[in-house]
Order: sequence, then structure tokens, then C-alpha cells
Amino acid sequence: MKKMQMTLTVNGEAHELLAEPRELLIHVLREKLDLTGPHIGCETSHCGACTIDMNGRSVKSCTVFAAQANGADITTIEGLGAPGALHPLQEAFREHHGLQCGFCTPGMITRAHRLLQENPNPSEEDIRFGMAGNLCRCTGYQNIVKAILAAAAEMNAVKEAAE
Amino acid sequence: MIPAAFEYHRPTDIASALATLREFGDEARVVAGGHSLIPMMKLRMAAIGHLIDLQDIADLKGIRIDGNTVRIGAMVTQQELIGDAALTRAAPLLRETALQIADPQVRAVGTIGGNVANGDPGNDMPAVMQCLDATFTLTGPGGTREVKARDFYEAAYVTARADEEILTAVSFTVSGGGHAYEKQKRKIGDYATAAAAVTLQKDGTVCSAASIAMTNLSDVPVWSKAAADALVGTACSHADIGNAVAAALADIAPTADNRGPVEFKRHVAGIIIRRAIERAWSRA
Amino acid sequence: MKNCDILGMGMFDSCEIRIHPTGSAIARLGTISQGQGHATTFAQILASEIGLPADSITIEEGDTDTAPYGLGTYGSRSTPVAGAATAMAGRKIRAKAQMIAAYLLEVHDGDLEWDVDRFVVKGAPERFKTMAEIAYASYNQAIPGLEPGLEAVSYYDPPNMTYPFGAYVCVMEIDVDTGVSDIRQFYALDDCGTRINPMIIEGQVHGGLTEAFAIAMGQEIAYDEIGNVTTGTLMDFFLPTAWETPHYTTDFTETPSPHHPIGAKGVGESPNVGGVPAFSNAVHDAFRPFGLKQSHMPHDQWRIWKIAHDLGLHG
Repeated sequence: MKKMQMTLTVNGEAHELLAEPRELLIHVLREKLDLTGPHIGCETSHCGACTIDMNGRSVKSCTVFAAQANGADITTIEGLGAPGALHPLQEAFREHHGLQCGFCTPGMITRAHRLLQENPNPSEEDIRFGMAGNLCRCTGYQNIVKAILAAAAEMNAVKEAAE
Repeated sequence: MIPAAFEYHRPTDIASALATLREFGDEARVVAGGHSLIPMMKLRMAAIGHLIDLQDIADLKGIRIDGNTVRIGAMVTQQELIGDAALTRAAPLLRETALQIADPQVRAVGTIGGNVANGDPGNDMPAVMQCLDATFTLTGPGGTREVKARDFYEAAYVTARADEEILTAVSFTVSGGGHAYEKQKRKIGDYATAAAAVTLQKDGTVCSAASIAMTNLSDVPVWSKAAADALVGTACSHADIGNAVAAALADIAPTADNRGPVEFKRHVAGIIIRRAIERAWSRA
Repeated sequence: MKNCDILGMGMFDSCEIRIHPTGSAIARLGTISQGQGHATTFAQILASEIGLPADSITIEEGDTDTAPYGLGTYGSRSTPVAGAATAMAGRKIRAKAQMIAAYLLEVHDGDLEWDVDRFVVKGAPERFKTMAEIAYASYNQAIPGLEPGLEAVSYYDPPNMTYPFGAYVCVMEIDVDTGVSDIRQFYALDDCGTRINPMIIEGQVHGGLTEAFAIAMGQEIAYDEIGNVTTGTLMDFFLPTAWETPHYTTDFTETPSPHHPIGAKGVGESPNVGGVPAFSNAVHDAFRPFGLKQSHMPHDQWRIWKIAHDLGLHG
């Protein structure tokens, strides 16, 4: 099948690439752009391990064709922070033991990042509802909730200090 | 899981989408959010030669509220429905329903058009549209026609939409009063074990108008005129609601699945319908 | 005392430690972590034994080219067995370090006492050698009667099981009309003996309880009449989301294992083992006054509804 030329802006950088229309966004991110932070879990849009941010929305990239994302602005976990310069959410997940095996973590943090933009002061209930598209089998979610609450407080404090 | 190869089209207006649909006939399918279609393609249960992505068609977007009339473009996502304050003021039933669909990421891409057009008996918006007596706008090579939601569903995945037509909008008239969408499911992301959409109008202490529709209790959404008739003119007492529930249950035909056997589903449906009526009445 | 065995095969696990001249260390084990935090827990055990900071200790697992032989991670055995091997190997390091310190300080090794990270001359606290200094000397100074280097290996074959235990209390609300259940409170007390890292332990408890919740309340591999699995998706197989999962209150007592070198016991499974009957018995308890004698897991909505229905609670 003929490949399509497409442009994806990923973590602030524009990429021109060729892909078959049937290639899923998660495969293009992982295999063509070497962004292996988003994981492939269930492949049926249930687990959320592949969550990325696309045009300001949390999206499961296993259920989007790269062709559909042509022209989109995408953020993956790699775009949120880096070793030595962690995002407050990454720092909070580490501090509050919000991960164990780590498989769900990139999707969790990428989703939480968008959730905190949708609702900067979430309650525990808001977080549990807002994170319900991401499955975790290790943590029982309790420390994930705790980490997101802590990151929200930290991000709000930084925002207030800047104002 | 990788689907079979296909050609991708992204038209920017409805006319070009229709032309492509016509050109490739059976081989072509339109895609909105894709969260029903893409998993089926990955499982190779849907073979599609030409995928027509509707995301760039401006005419399919936007929510218009004009007096009592609401028109929602087919490509409006569940997340957009939830976030639209004017829509929630005009028709709070939609937000209440959308929040009970799937999970946040799926709501971010799942559209109202896809939800109603797919004909999946597990989808929630079809019953809501029947409850609201909504009209679906279908655009095809011969122009545009309108079909009532109550006439749209023929069997599971079989609707009144012709292959060469695109469902472009849903519209309905807002009537105020009380509303409720009550849904029982096993977990977030599950389809309903039973769900019911109810709208009610109250005149003094009497129910002056009612509409009741149900999700996943037959191979199509079920609007029960008999159930509504049982409420109109009553004070919605426990016994009146019981009559409406009995009438609604006479109109459904649930099937057994992992959620449970038919006997269970019928019983739960009765409870869910009652709760939906009670909640709508309390808000009327 | 008879060692634990499976058909005569010892249930040992192992730890091999190399202290570098720089005062950092690597420990290799026969186990492997899937997220239980071995790198943290084992480094802490070793840090306590040999006085090097935990963050200067590298834990390496899972490389069969370099790891000592072991039976691996399963059955909550990593800390009870490999953790014990780590402590025992650490003690071998410390014993040799004491000989080296005695030579360096020109005293009899019996005149030294261990204090956190150093050997100190009894009665002369200003005279000491730290483990880091000893490590350097072990490679860079000829010490009569001792081989150079500071390495040890221990194979620990446990003389008995460790017996972690706990108590779990579930308060559940049941809607008899729909079969829907809601966990109002859940309290878990776990005793895993000496607590090495409370945060990791709590994380293990949360995860174990959540799996218990899923097992008790919904998980099932169901088949149709011709043997196809009908619960093959994450919509049909109950893997709870954050929304369904209850909030847990956790607590502990600390009863050290009498035979484990540092008194530690396993924790991965105890909340999982005890949690299932706690959830399940809550369902049972709700219906006991109405005459329920026996019910079967998983207590999903329709099975709970069926209990209520069979007891005549639907009128």
C-alpha cells in the first residue's frame, strides 16, 4: 500500500514522515519517532497505557491512525519532563510511590497532565473519575491519586507565586 | 493488531465526502472518533478499502441553540457535549448521559454522530435521542432528508441510513421539565446492563408529558410510548410509576450475556426505569 | 530443623556482594523485581548491615550471566529468602571488614565494636575505620593473613516459612434490587515482621487488596458452551479502574520472624489472600440475617442479585 506523507508536531518538534494509512499512531510514535514512552497495552482502547495528548485532548493512541493525526500537535511523556528536570507530576509520582512496575505510568502521567488543565483543583473523586481510562494492576490507584493531588498543589503554588 | 490496508481520505466538505462514498460504494466507510470502528478493523471484523475521515468538515461541527431548537453537528465529541454550558442549560440530559459513556479518553474523541449512527444497541445516545424525539439529518447524493430517531433503528447495526448517506447532525426541541439518564454498568467503560432516559413535564402536581427510552435492552434502542402514556395525567405516585415500568418492560427483549441472564436484566431494567422516572419527576 | 524443600530441592536464594574500593557496592541476587521495589528494599537491608549508604549500592537482578543461582521471585519469597541472603552476605563482608579494621587500627578484632558505618575501638571512640576506608584498604594494602578484596556470597536456605499475617475489615453496602455493591470502608492491618520500607509495603498492600477486590467481586474466565472464552476483553474481565477501587485504610503490627536474620517476612500476597474473604464475607454477612448459607465468587452484580432473589428479597 502506498505510503502517505504526513506532518506531526511532537513535543514541540515538527516531523515529516511517511507511513501507511493503516499504521496506528502508537506505532509511528514508538517505531518511527523512537518515542517509546507511550506503551502498547491492551490495544483495544481500554487500558490507557498508550495515552498521549493530541490537540489538547487526552487520546488513546492505539485507536488512532497516524493519518488521522496528520497535522496534529502531540505531546508524549517525553515532552513533559526529562531526567534531571522532571515535571511536577513525575516528581510527585516518584515521591509518593505512584508507580510500581511502571508500565501504566507514562499514560497515567500524560492523562493526569491534561486532567489538571481541565480541573486544576480536583478532589479525590474527580481524580478517580478523570483517571478511569487508565488501568493499573500494581498500585491499587491510591498512591496515584495521592501523587496527582500533591502535584496539583505544587503546580498551583508555583502558579500563584508567579502571579 | 494492525488492520488490513486501506486508502485514507480526508475531505473538507460534505460534497466531497459523499462523492468518495459513492465512488467506492461498499468498500468505503466514514470515520468520526473511530473508537467503535478502529477496534473492529484491527480485529479484521470490518474490512474497509477506503476510510473517509470526517474531521476536517466544518459543517459537521458545532452546537447551535436557537430558541427551543438544538442542533448538534455529528462530529461534536462527548467531551464537547459535557463542556458546553449553554447546551447543559438547554438540555442537561445530554451532559448527564455523556458522563456515563466510556472513559475520559474515549469521550475526547467519541462523537455524538458516531454514537447514534453506528446502530450499536449498547450505545447510550440513541435512547436519549429517542427520548428527546430528536431528528437525524442524513445527507446523500440526492440531498438531505430527516429521519426521526424513533424510526431510525431497525436491528443491531442496521439503521435507516443508506450506505451512500452520511449522518450530519442531530436536532431536537427542548421542552424543559425534569430529566434523567440512569445507567447500571459493571465498571467504567462498560455498556449498560440496563439504562433508561426519561423526560417529564409537570403541570401543578400532574405529569403533563413524558418520554421514556431504554438502552441495551433489545437489539435496538426502545422508546416506550405505553410507558409514557401510563404517566401522563397522573401524579407519578409509586403505583403510577409501577404501571409505567410494567408498560416499558413489555416493550423490551433483553438477551443474556456476561452481565447476566434475561431474568436479571428485566428486573434491573424495572428498577433503573423507576429510578430514572423518580429522578426526572423530582427535577420537573 | 528440616529445611523447606520441593521434592528434595532446596528453597534457597542467593546474594553476591562486591564492595568496590571507592566505597560503593553491587549486590547481585537470584530474584527479579516486577515493580516490588527490590532495588530499594535490598539496598536498604545491605546498607543497614554494612554501613554504606543505600544510594551507593547497586542491586542487579535478572541477568543469568552474572546472577548467582536462585529460585526467583514468587510466593512473596524475595525478602524472606533473598533478603535473608543479602543480610547474611552483608554480615560476611562485615566480619572480614572487622579483621581489616583491626589490622589498620593495630588492635585485636575483639576490641572493636560496630557503630552504624564503622568499627570503633572500644573505649576510644576517636579511633575508628569507616566501611569506605576499609573497602579502600582491602584492595590497596597488603594485609597479612587476609586475601585482598571485599566480596561475599550467601546462599540462604530458609529453615521455615515466614508467617506474615493480617486482618481485614470490609464495610459494604449492597443494593439488593440491582446487585450493585459499594465499598464504604476497608481497613487492612498487615504484619510482615520487620518493616524495611514502609512506603513500599503500603504500595504492596494497596495492590494486593485491589487484586483481592477484583477476584472477590468480579473476575472470572467464563466460557461459552463450545469452550470459547467470553471474558477476553478488559470490558468483560473485571480489572477495576480507579473509580471502582475503594480507598484503603492501612495499618500494621510488627512481629519479627524468629528465624529470619532481620525478622522480615513477605507482604506481596498477604493482603491479597486475606482480602478476598474479607470482601466476599461482607456480601455473605449482608445476607446472613435473611438465611444465606453459602454463595459463590465472584460476587458480581448478577450473582448478588441472584442471592437476593433466591432468598425472596424481591417480593
